[in-house]
Amino acid sequence: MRKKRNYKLEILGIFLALIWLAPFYLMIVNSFKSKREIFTNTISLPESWNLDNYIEAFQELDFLRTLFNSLLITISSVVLIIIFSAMAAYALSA
Amino acid sequence: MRTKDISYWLFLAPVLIALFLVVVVPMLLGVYYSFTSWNGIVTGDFVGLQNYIDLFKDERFMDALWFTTKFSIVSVILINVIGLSLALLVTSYLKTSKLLRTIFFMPNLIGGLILGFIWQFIFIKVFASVGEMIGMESLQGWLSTTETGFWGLVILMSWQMAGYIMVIYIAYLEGMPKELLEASEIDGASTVQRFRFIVFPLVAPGFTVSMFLTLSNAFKLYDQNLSLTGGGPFNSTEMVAMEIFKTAFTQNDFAFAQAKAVVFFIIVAIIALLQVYFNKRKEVEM
Repeated sequence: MRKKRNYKLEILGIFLALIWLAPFYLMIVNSFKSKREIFTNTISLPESWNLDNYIEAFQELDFLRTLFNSLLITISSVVLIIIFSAMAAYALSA
Repeated sequence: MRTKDISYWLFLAPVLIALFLVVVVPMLLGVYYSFTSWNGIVTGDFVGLQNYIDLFKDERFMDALWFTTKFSIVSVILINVIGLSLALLVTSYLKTSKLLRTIFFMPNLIGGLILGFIWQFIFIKVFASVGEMIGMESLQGWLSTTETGFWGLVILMSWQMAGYIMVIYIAYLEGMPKELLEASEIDGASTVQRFRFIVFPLVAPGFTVSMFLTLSNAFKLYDQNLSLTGGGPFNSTEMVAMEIFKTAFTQNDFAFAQAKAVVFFIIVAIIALLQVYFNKRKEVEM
């Protein structure tokens, strides 16, 4: 089958992708704004890219510790799931 | 079939024990508690069907049930239509097809609770400032009325789930035999006819899977509901899962919440089974 690129669909796809990405854009852009700037200037790029929010989050959250907890839970449960479900599947399929 | 010797049960044991401890026992206990006046600490007296009778008189629960039903119908239709359209779009011959797939799937990489907060910000702050810019009054005060809360939840859910459902449809679309499509093209079928008579019947099994997933996800929705509207205004956007949680942990009426949970479970189970049964009959044999 001979196929040719459909530019209308291509443009539609990119347009939809931009809509899908809008919340991520807002999330990232607003993370660089001060609390006051979020209220006065919600959509556009920040006046100055300041990292204060990141520094504060890192200090308050104890990021490394929580990340370690998540990793510990994820790794141990995935290992258990793989072993036990493989065992059950073997018994049930034989 | 192999004889069920000791090794058969040993291999199954971990799964069976886990299933028994975290599903079967709590469920049976839960059903028992729904017939008592359990308050979380003391089991209380056996009250028979009183909790179930009260439940149908509980307006808040019935409102939540109705709201959940409306929400599920609208969001299941929207998610499947959007998901299938996206799948058709990214399986057509596009340069950016791989990139688009990744982008549409991205909302699933973030937890529901956080998505709820992001969209709360969008609906309240961003919609308001966009509305101010282009002078649209209807973009003000989102999530402050029942309607906007409802559509807010629907938009959030569709945005999140459509990409996931798209992946399922992509698998079915790409597994479609190319000969059939080519043959229909040679026979002079239009694009609409080809979609209606060839593509649609062949992705019907995907329909069963996606409907099941979206339906049960929409009915059980809790975290997005909690973070986006919190049930407000005046509990009007409260969904069943959240209503049950509040009955149990805010009003400490554990037995009553148990009864609601049992009824909710039965409703969801019946809908899911019926839907799988009817969809299975529509599927075509290859």
